[in-house]
Parts: sequence; C-alpha cells; structure tokens
Amino acid sequence: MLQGIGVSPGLGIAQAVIYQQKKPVISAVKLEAEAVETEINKFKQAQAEAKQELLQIKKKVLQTAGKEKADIIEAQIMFLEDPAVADEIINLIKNGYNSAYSANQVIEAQAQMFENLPVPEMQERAVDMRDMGRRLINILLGRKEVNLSEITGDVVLIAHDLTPSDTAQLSKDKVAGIVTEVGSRTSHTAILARSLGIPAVVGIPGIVEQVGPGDLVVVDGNSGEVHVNPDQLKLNSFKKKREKLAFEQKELESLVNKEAVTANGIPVRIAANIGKLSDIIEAKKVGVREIGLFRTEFLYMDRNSLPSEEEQYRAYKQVVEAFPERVIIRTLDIGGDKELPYLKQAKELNPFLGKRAIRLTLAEKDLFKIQLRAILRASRHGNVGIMFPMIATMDELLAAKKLLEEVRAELETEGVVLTNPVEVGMMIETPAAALTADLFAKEVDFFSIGTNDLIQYTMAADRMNEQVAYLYQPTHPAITRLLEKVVQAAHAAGIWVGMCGEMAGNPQLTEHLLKLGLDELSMTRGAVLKVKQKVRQITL
Amino acid sequence: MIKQVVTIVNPTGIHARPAANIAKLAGQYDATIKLAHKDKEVDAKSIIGIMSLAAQAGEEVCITAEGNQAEEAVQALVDLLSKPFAE
Repeated sequence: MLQGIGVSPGLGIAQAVIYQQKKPVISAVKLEAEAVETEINKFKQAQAEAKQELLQIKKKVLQTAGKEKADIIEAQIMFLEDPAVADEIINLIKNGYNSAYSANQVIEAQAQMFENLPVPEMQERAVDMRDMGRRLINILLGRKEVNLSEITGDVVLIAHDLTPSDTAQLSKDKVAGIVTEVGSRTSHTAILARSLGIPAVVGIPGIVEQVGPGDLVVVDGNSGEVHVNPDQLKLNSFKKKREKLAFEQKELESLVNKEAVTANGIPVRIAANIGKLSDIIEAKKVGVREIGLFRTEFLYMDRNSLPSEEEQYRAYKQVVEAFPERVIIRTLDIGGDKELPYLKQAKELNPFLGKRAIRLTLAEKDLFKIQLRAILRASRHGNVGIMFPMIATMDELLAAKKLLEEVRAELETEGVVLTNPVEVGMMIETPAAALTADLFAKEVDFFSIGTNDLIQYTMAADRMNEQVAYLYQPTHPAITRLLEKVVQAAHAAGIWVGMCGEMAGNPQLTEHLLKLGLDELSMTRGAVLKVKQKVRQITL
Repeated sequence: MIKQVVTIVNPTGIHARPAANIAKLAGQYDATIKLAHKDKEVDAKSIIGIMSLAAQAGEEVCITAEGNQAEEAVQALVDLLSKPFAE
C-alpha cells in the first residue's frame, strides 16, 4: 500500500496508464545559410498548429471547467504569439540554429524569468510557459505523446504531475482515478480532479517508476491510499466499497431538488457557508437556496492594500443576486489566525483572545464603514442580512449598529435609495454573548451561533492544538446548556436563530440541533446533502 | 515621441489578466509602444514583457510611443492603466 494525500474523494479501481512527459532530447544543429528560410517556415507552421490545438483545448475547458481555467489556456496562446517568444525564436533561427533548439532556448529563458519574479502569482506562469513550450517542441520534432483526450476505457492515470493543458483533456467517463508524484490539496491537479469528481491522490514520489502499464490500481481519494495489484480478497472488498459509495452518492444526488423537511413535515432551513465567489456555483449544485454565512475575508487577503468599496460592492452583489432568498454577509473577521500585512496589526501573545473581528473593525472605523457601505448598496439587489462577529458586550453591538445607521444616512444623502429591508444580526460565539442572549435578542433580527469559537472559548481549549483536542466536545453539557439558552432567548424575543459552525454540518448532530429548536443550519456545501438526508429521516 | 507617467491603481498590480488586456490594446496600434518601470523597459505589445515588470499597485509606469497613432495609443493606455481592471 502506498500512502499519499487524498485530494479528491471517491474510490477508483482500474488499470494503470502511465503518463510520462519525458523531456525530449534537443540538440543544437548548425544550419546552412540557405536552410534558414525553410526552418523559419517550419517554426511558423508549428506555431499555427500549436495554436489550433490550444484553441481546441480552450473551447473544451470553457465548457468543462469554466472561464478561469480557460483563461490559463488563453495566456498560453498569447505566450506562443508574443514577440518576446516568436520574434526571439526567429532571431535565433536566423543565427543558424534549428527551430526546436531555438524554441527551447527562448522558452526556457522566459520560464526562468517568470520564476525569478518577486510575485508568486507570476512565478506560476513559468508552468504555463513550459506547458506551451512542450507542445510547440513536440510538434517541431514530430513527437507523439500519449494523448490524454484519446484515452479509451476506464483507467487510472499515473503521472509525475499534470499540467493545465493535460488536465483540461480529462473526463470522468474515461479516468477512474488520478495519482501523481507531486502536488497538494490546492495544486492544479487537485482542484480540477475535484471539479470533475475524479478520485485523486497526490504526493507519492516514485509511483511512475513503481507502477507498470496494465497494473491494477486502487485509488482511495478519501484516505489517500493507493493499492497496486491487490489480491482477489482485497479487490473484492474494494469493489464492494466502491459500489456502496456510488449508491450513497446517487442517493444523495437525488436529494438536490427535494425539500428539507422532517419526516413529519416540518421544514428546516438549510443554508451554505461560502468564502469566495467560485463557491456560488458549487453551492448551487447541491441545491442550496440561501447563504447563512458569507465570509468576506477573501476580499481582504492575499493583497497589498484594502479592497475598494466598488470592488466589495460588485462581489457582494454577485452573491446576493445568485441567492435571492437570503444572503447573510458577515463583516470582516480578521485577526486571530488571519492577518492582513497592510493593517500593521501588533503581534499578540494570544491572538484568539485578542483584537480580532468586531474588536478590530470598531477600531478601524474607516475600513468598517467602507464595508458597510458596500453591503448596504448590495442590499438593493436582493435579501441581505448583516452579521457582526465576536460580539461580547452590548456596547460593541450598539456601536456597530450606530455606524451602520450613519452609513445608511450618508448613502441616502448621496441619493442612494435603500428600500429593501436589511436584517441586522450577530454571531453568538463568545460565552458572554450566549449567557446574555436575552438582552441581545432585543437589539437584533437574528442570531447565528458560531460553534467553532463558542466551543473553544467555553471549554478553554485551542481547537488547533491536538493535545487538547479531546476537549473539543460539541455535545458537552456546557455547550448544550448554552445552546438551549440562546435558542430560548431568541424565540422569546420572536427572532430566528441559526448555526453556522462546523457542528451544523455534522449529520450525526442534526437531530440534536433540531430538537434544541435551531431554525436554520448553515454549513459547507459538502455537508448539505448529507444533512438534508438526515433531516428527512427525523421525526420531531 | 509621446510620453506619459501613470500610477497603477489596480490593487493587485499588473498580473496576468491586466497584462493581457494591455498587450491586446497596444496591439491595436501601429505605433511602437514601450512601458518602463523602475529601470526596465519593455514592448507594450508583449504580455510576457509586461508581466516581467511585476509592477505593483501604487508604483509608476512610464508609457512612450513613437510613430503612427502614437498619441491615441498613449491616451488609450493611460485610460486603461489609471483605473482598476475588471477582474
């Protein structure tokens, strides 16, 4: 058994195809003066041919993986035709070198240029440059590689790594699984495998040498295990497991358009947590109609300055329009384990007990007001709720609400008409807020319980620290009592109460939570169908 | 020769997609157009050249153009560079 990292769930069993992108041997050949013209034409033809191939791939990617991935292929076409590539290659040929050698020299130099740029996003372009180069040089040398689009039958694809144009040609019907030597959860192969629903394991060095074509390979994308030529007994049990998984998957998929109602007919609101715009499509795929937690941190992270109001507005609007039923937007929850370099936050000894979330935004009023303006403007396009994170005292809530009213007044003076009602709510994630929920309930339209933090603060146990992981107990009586108190306080005041922590997405706890009286459960999209299935079995 | 300096406002600087937009726009003009940033000057019709500048938000880029339509070209590029790019 070989152990790697499971990056795309599911079980694949099939014969191996080894996809080896061996680097071609390219030697420098000095050309006679009269051969130069022919060689230039040969390059131009190859360039046109490579462009045709890339256009075909781009078209396919656009249908299967979306515009973002298609843009990567488009960039390769632009590289191919760029004067810094095409003109330089022709110059080298004019100096008397053969086309393949010239192309390789120029493209490798450009790839290295990208690798040496100080911006990570640009360094990755070296992969695209070399991917394009391999295609062009193979054409120049008349070299045929295993063409991934020509794979027939059910196979497990074994490779060192897959490039963007490689993965673009994969399809679920033909590829039962993928195993690569390098990669991580966020690598290109992993993302594409997940979006195509192909089980995948990455990070098994040497697999290309260890497995031969035709070997029977079992890929477990959940556990990260890869088995080569298992004995009959094991193979049978894998096949049984695969059948079971497939059956369960089918059962779940049949629930996409069904209502979330209990066996005795009580409807339950199931919502999704999302944290970036690409989650919209994913959430829609599992039939989600409302967003219970829209994390806005992605707009602020991995950049050098604050996002503008306009940029935020456009992002919020996109989500609000995608889910007309309801979108709860949480204001910036930064601090704790997430830092913004451009905010120059002081180092803290105890960041989870430090200046994070509402504590930070109330101190950075300009930043906060820009976000509130963007959210209010987006509220014109649908049904929006605003949610303040990490509230511990009434003063914090009132200060946040006051700012919101100031911003609303400013917008109205500027002539922005805000007619749609906007629900104002708060997260219950500090024990202080949970214990005084009755007081808070008079000031907000809803609560959403953030169990990850509520549990860690109540049990005084860092949830990232494995040595105290045993204390992270969602059903500890202390937590249950807090939840009861919060739900009662909400219902006594006539407001709704939801939950958006990990606990909400655990189907084993669904019955417990519904019996406690939660009105809404918001979870990662991967949990939606499993929880819906559970809801439909429960009698309240 | 027409010459103008602009400050990049796109928050993530000139990464792949903005570079593609700039190169496409520059490609529509006959003029020879160059972008200079720090001590480097590149062909504005080359996406690779533009990306190699690794220009960040808040930094200045100098646009120069010579030949036919030089003035229009510089103006069009100034317009594109001095606002955030649509993502």
